[in-house]
Amino acid sequence: MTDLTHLVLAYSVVWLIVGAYLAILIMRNRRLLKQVEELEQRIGKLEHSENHSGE
Amino acid sequence: MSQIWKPIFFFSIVFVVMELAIIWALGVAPPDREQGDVQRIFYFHLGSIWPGFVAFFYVLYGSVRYLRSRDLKWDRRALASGEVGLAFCIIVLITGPIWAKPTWGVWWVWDARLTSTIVLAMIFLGYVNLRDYIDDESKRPRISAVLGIIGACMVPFVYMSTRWFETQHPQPVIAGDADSGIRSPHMLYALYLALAAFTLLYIMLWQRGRELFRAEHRIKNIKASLNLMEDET
Repeated sequence: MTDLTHLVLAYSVVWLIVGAYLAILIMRNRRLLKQVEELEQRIGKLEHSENHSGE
Repeated sequence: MSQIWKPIFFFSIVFVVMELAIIWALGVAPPDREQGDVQRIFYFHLGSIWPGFVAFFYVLYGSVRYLRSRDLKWDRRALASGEVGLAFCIIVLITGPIWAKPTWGVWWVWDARLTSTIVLAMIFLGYVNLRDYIDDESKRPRISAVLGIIGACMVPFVYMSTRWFETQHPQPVIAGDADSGIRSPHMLYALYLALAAFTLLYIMLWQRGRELFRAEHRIKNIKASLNLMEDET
């Protein structure tokens, strides 16, 4: 391997690791959004059942 | 400034400083007289570990604040910082051997600096993963805080290891002895830009991580309240 190959490899590794951590954050964010959707559905169901019991 | 524009503005600053750091490290700074172009790895190698050390010191600060106040906010902040610090530590552990091979002739030596850095990374790998293996919610942040403090206490040892022991790894450049360090002004600018870029990147990633942990905590609380409401109906 030449010096240039080592240089390119090292700088690529930096962005691969930063990119991997960003991907983890994005996946975590998606999981949270899914949980929010699930909570919204549950709240909707609760409101629905409360409306029916009120009638 | 609105909540939407603030992160975009901060990201723009990180992007510009990172671009400048890359331009100076790869283009403007002269090649090293002995090592040639491969020495340019140094700027991002050192540039990433210093904010990594800062991240670990924040873990120490956050963990102590948690242990004193038992406020989970500090545990979440420390955890977010520990994750970014670990990512930066992994960068240094991979770029180091890539630089070592053409300069030392080997990928790795078990000297005090390299060994202590890998131990530091292992401690923080444990720190960020430990909470997944502790079921007791009251013990989880407490044990993590203790491990975080132990890990952060390793940082001065990692820094001083090249002075206390004979190592293949060179002497410190930052706050080093009179004969260590770099003298070309463009090399210094490249190093300062890399340090600034990674410090800003650390702040940006830590803020995002902290917000996600906070949102996770709030969702967990809402779920618990909702479970109670569902049981009542």
